Amino acid sequence: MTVRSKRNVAICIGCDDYALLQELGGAEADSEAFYEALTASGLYDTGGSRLLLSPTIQEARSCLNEIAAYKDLTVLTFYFAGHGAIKSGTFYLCFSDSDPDRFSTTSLPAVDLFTVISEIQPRQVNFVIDACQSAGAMFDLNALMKPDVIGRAGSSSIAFLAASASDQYAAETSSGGIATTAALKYLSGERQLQQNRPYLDLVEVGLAVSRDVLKGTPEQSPVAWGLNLYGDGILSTNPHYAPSVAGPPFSVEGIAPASATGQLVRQYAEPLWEEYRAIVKDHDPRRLQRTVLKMRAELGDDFVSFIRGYAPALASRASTSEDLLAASDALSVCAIALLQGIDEPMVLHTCRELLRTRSDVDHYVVTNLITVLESDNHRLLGRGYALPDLHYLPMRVSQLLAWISLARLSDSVLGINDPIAIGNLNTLVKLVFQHYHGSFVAVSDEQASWTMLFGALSKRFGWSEQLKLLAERLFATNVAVAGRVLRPWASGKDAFYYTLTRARMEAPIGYEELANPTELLSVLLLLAHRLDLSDHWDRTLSAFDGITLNAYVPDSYSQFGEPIIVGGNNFTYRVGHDVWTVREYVRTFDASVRARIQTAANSLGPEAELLCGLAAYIFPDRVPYFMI
Amino acid sequence: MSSPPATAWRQIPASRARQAEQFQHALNKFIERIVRDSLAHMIAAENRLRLYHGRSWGGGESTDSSQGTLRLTSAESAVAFEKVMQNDVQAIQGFLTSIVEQISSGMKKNIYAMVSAAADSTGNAVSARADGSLAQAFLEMLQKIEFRVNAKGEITLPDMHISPEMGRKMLNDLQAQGPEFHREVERIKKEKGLAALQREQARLDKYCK
Repeated sequence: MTVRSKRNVAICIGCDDYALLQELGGAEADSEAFYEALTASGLYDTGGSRLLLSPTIQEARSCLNEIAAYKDLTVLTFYFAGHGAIKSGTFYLCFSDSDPDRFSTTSLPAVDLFTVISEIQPRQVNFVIDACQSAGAMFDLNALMKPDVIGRAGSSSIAFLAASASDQYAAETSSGGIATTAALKYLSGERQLQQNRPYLDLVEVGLAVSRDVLKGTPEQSPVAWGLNLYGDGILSTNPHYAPSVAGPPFSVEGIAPASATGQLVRQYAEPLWEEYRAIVKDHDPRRLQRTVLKMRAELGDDFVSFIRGYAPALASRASTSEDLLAASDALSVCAIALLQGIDEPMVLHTCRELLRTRSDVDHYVVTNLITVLESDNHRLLGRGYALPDLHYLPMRVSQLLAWISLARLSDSVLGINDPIAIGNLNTLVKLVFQHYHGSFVAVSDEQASWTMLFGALSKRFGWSEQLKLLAERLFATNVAVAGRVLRPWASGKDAFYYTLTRARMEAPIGYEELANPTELLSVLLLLAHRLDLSDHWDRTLSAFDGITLNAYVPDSYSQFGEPIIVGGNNFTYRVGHDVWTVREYVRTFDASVRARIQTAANSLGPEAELLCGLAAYIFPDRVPYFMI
Repeated sequence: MSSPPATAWRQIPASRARQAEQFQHALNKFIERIVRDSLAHMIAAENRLRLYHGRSWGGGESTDSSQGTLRLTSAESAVAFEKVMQNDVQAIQGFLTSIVEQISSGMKKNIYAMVSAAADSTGNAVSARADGSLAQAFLEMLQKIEFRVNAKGEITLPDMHISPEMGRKMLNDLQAQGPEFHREVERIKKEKGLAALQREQARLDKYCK
């Protein structure tokens, strides 16, 4: 990618000398080092960039006024090291003549920076604030993220790194602020972040800095976030960029804000920010898919550029969600949107990048889950309410096993052969089976796709014994409800009434709420055949008398990630009318369904197969029968 | 990715927080309905008032309307984590039975306590011990209470809430009484019924014609 910069500008301010506040020792040196790191590669225009050392408020404002006059900025990076302060809910940057009794007139409110951005609307804005109480700016940004406040600044890509939380002071060493020192290691190349993109994004730098600082200075917790609307985020050149590692020799251009596509992105900035805001409190892959597919429909070929910037930033935001899988799921949804066009080299390349980022996220989540489950085996239980988990814990456990299978498949497809990661995934499977086998219970048809994923991949990854236990438990509990499980996407209210019926209590649950036909029984019967359980299960198959099984097969699996898959066929069979034994069902399936599956899955590459698996995992109203 | 904060807040895979909320909401509504049904025989539907604000009710001293303050009825029941992890679905039945029973009995106690207090304060109390027998107490009770007239203009007799054991004793005692006693009962009922109709008419006559 080439940043066809009309102008990239860095404003670096370091303030050590204070007339009325305590003097600092390393802020100027930090800002000089940061300025040097940014401008050395030629990415930033040294004619327009500024380095201000211990300026007065007047000098700082003059500099901003000068920037506000620029009409053609691509990247604007604002760095500040010095005192910061929060007064009456407003975060102020303090300069050499700032007076603590008169902050409003002698310091710069963070909100003023956004006013400037609103006026010039660069493609990308980066904020690095290494100051006492600097996360107060985060507070201000949260306030600014409200649609009625953020205004036109929200149509720029914005990334932010604050060095300390609002009640903390940014630690300083003799060589400068800890966060700045950590960031400079990535900018200078002393530490490597990635090799596949020519530029470093402040969000990825910020998250790495957060991890580094937390390790060395646990009392300081940097905050990093950002949203890229126009493709990859850009902070600095990537010293470790290796085109040979990055993939085929083509470039993925960012989207110029002034272009027709850029205008479209601006038009959709608000819903994109809305998703960014919502994903923390309400992780909803189907809502995210609607947003992403709208962008795909609008942007056409430029969607690839958009999604490679948007997805990682969204995922980093989602990593703070209560849902531990939210970041992984967000990346999955974005990658699934590329399934239709995966035959294009550029789409495939971007897809692999997103999957690679997802793999990193998954490895982190696996480590986290092992740690918490080893210290407290109740940690898969929901927070706040116990009884909903009579329904949702079985779903959670099924989903988690599918997710583990896909994490393993993903590493395999991406050529990641990390024995530690493999060991961790095996450990996690063992922990789930050790503590949660009591929750291997058939309650919802959504479990069909998850069970299929685990079932299809378990032999390959050495989990056959576990699969047998899972299948037997699911079958036994499915017998107990005569195959009547809840339909996909059922509400919590339906789940409650369904739980009452399982407890043999009167409840208004009818065929409308149940999966009819059901794919869960179809999947279980296919697995039974693989596991040599057919004869055993045949003896209780009459419990499902009258139940209709279904196996949906699309015309082409390239459509498998769409909200509604048009075309294809639902192969339905009725127990006690069409089939009476497991073998009969398998024979019928092989005779009628298998050929259609092979046609539909013809020429699916490994990445596309993985995306289909992810689609079935995220949107469990479809089963990837081609995997078995 | 960034580490989760080290607070009581914790991350859960596939948390389904929104659906869990819906589930819990439905469960709460279910409890509310069962409790309401269990109390339906005690209070006529038109006398069950749903108040949205405040802690007390009443029309003030210048009116006949009832007065009172809200009383909290609480219930508690624990479900062991292990039961949920083992998907012991009977746990939900046990929980609901326990909660409904606690709330219903708490509310019944409140209702009886309020009725008892109101009767005591107006001297509208009878004592089988003082009257010498349950039958005499029954007769005195009939004399002290007032009958009502429903919206259709029909006389309605009050309900009696007594324990099954006391009910059996009272029935036996009443059946053992001679014809004079029963004639007296019928006479009081007729008299009270007529009085109720007159009161109802007087009440209706207050509307502008």
